[in-house]
Amino acid sequence: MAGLLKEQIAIIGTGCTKFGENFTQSWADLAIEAAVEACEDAKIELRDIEAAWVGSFRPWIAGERNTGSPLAEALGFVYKPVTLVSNICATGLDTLRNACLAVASGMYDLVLAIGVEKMRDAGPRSLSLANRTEGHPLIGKGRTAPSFFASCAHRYFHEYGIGRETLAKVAVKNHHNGAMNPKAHLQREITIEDVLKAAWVAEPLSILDSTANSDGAAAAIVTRVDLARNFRSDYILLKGIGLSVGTERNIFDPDFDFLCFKPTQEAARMAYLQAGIKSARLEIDIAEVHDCFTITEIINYEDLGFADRGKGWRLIEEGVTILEGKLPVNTDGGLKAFGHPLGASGLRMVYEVVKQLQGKAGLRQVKNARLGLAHTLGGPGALAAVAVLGRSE
Amino acid sequence: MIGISAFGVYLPAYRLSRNVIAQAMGGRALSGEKAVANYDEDALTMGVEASFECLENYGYAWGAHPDATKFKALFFASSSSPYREKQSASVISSVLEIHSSALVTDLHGSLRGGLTAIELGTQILGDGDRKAKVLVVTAEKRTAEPGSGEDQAFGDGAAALLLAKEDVLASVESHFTVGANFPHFWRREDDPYVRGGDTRFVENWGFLPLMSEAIEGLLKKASLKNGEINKLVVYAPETRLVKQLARRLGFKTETQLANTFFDTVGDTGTAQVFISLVDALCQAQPGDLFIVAGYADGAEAILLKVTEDIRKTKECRAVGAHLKRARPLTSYSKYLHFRDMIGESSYEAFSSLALLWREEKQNLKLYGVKCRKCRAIHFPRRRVCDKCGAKDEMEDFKLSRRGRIYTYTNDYVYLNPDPPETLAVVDLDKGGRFFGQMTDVNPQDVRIGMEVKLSFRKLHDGQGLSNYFWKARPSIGRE
Repeated sequence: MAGLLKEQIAIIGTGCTKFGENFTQSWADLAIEAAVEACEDAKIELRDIEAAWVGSFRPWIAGERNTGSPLAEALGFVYKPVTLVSNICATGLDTLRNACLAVASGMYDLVLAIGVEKMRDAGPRSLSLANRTEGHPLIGKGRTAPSFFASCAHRYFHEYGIGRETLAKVAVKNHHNGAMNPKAHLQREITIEDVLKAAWVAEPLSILDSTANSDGAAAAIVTRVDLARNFRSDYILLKGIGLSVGTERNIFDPDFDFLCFKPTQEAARMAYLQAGIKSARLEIDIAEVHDCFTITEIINYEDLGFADRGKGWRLIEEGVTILEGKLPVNTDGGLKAFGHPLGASGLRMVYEVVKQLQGKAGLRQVKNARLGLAHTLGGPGALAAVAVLGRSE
Repeated sequence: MIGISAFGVYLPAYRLSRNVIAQAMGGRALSGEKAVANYDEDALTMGVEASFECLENYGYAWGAHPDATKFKALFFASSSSPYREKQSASVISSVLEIHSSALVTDLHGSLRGGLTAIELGTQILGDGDRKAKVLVVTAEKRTAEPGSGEDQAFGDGAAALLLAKEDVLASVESHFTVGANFPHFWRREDDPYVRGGDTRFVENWGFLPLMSEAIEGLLKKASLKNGEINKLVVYAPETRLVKQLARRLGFKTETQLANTFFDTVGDTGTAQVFISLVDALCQAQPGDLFIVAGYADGAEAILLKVTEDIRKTKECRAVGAHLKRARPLTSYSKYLHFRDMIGESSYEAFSSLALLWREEKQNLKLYGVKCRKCRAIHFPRRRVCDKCGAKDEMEDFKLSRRGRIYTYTNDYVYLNPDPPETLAVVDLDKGGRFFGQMTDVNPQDVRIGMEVKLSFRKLHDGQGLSNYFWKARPSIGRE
């Protein structure tokens, strides 16, 4: 089973809108911008695409239907197969995964994977309060994304003795990277002091420990490896992709320690197996990981195998994950500074990894990056996806 | 012998100083403070808490009434039931797992409903066997017009009494009723607030003569003189009025009057005379005689005789533990917000009547399941074990209401009238974990390892339903 996708699938074009409070753009405008950039990058026309997968966690909050139709409408892509993918924050990478599986099956040669999220039409608190208005009327009521990860942070502090300053360094790093990225939502440097003094979101996390609430879209054009060279020489290989879906009721599980996320570990195991990675910390050159909150990035280090259990915080303290470090993480600013339109984030990561591997990352370019990773985590550590991408030569 | 075998009270954590009301709304401040329900509490939830305390004081472990079928009746007496139509008693009965054969009903509308319930319960027990039990629950969250005298007087609270034929702490010796169509307090169909009549009129032509008639009638019926009574426990819309009544009847106000808690809790309506009685019982000696008198639409009095068993109650939780946990509510606007009189929440929650009905065992009675194959405890309930994969191999598992905080946060994003919202992950004593909101707590006091208790609260009003569930709160006394 493992290895089915290995070296079979190539990404030949990527696109990404500027993330932010894009009040002038509709859901469709975002989709068009990302799709068109991806097509231009691949030197194809929209009409060349045979099928599309669109990732959008909550299209209805922007007045769109919960189907494939909004994309068909936006791209004039009517009467072709379009599938909506919705898997919380793992939506973007799961969208890519489904597109890749379709190509690997031999059914299609050229497909679009696109993530679109129009968050800001629904107001600044719509997502934070989604668990208040939606879902089970009683079970877990009161949980918000910040409160879950803040609970992880309190426990992490309790177990490993670190404090807010260490978390703040994650935010400072990602803002530093984001400041060099014209497409990032927040393009400004911040200091540790700024993070510590910012307003609480959920103790011990402040607003500067938290991702921005952004609109945005990102896209990738996927084809078979044997066709890829017809489009470009520096196509990027999908070397592995894993998706692991657990229960959101993990928060009630006495065995769940709030210090690691099993879905990340499982998705990474699947992707590493396909990619033939033995030691992620030695082999991965750059990584885009799900830093919805600063604590999450540190836990991700451990779950992805970049650090041992309880030692993830050392990577940020020792500068391992800064742009000039041994394993730069979130080179584009991450969710923290680039922003987090849910369904788009996974494909935004793919966009950055592809640009880094192609040597087109501008001021943020990491030298000789050959193998990159993208990771997204959804719900209360309930599901995750990991993709490993590599240079073709 | 029929009488009271156990008692429990519940006072909400918050206190509102009457000065704060006067500062906000003008007028002269009455002395003291009043107990105020938290935003997630109503008469029903406070009634549940008082019932727990009562049953635990009796020795019933949570969820394990060995003689549940012996509960012959459960009465919920309140003039502020959260339901205009539908019983609160049936909800309380479900949470307490009272057997469906019990007579369960609300006694609405009159502040002396608790006394009426005792009389009804006594009659029902008269026909029952030795083990028969009746639970009488009283609770009140009355709302008065902001700034009115009643606004200063009314407090919130609950009390419950277990009536039985054995283990009796105080036997019901006699009962006397005076019925009268006298409107002292009333609230009509569309009235947002309780209304009160002209003070001079209702006190002099209602309270004083009617209560006197009931108490004197009871004394005469029992062939007792007022000097033989150890405690006079009476409903007290105000301290001054109770003293006036005692003097009029020839009782000594310093020694014979039970504490009314008007200055610390307020006029808790139906529950007030029960709260006062619980406190009096805690200080009673065997052989003491009490008169307990309730008022409204006439008056009703019972004579209690304290038994030797009262000595067994020394360790029982009572009013003191609830007074100790008082937290000041320093803002009158927050009080109004707690009572939905100001502030509005747009973000209505999803709910479903059918879903709540299907999950009653889980959500009201706190049953999880335990896998027969791997012994893993699951809450919420599930059919397929995610530890071992066994399908439909689950047995019921009643969660403990006590646990310790594994981790927590104070969340400033979630909306509630008392921000920040504390979210707690609680490892429960006998296994299983609770993840949810915390209430009645100073956010800065929350710690990993802190002992908490699950408390029955209203989470929200989604879909026009009262969505009751559990929250964690700090333990009250040695709970």
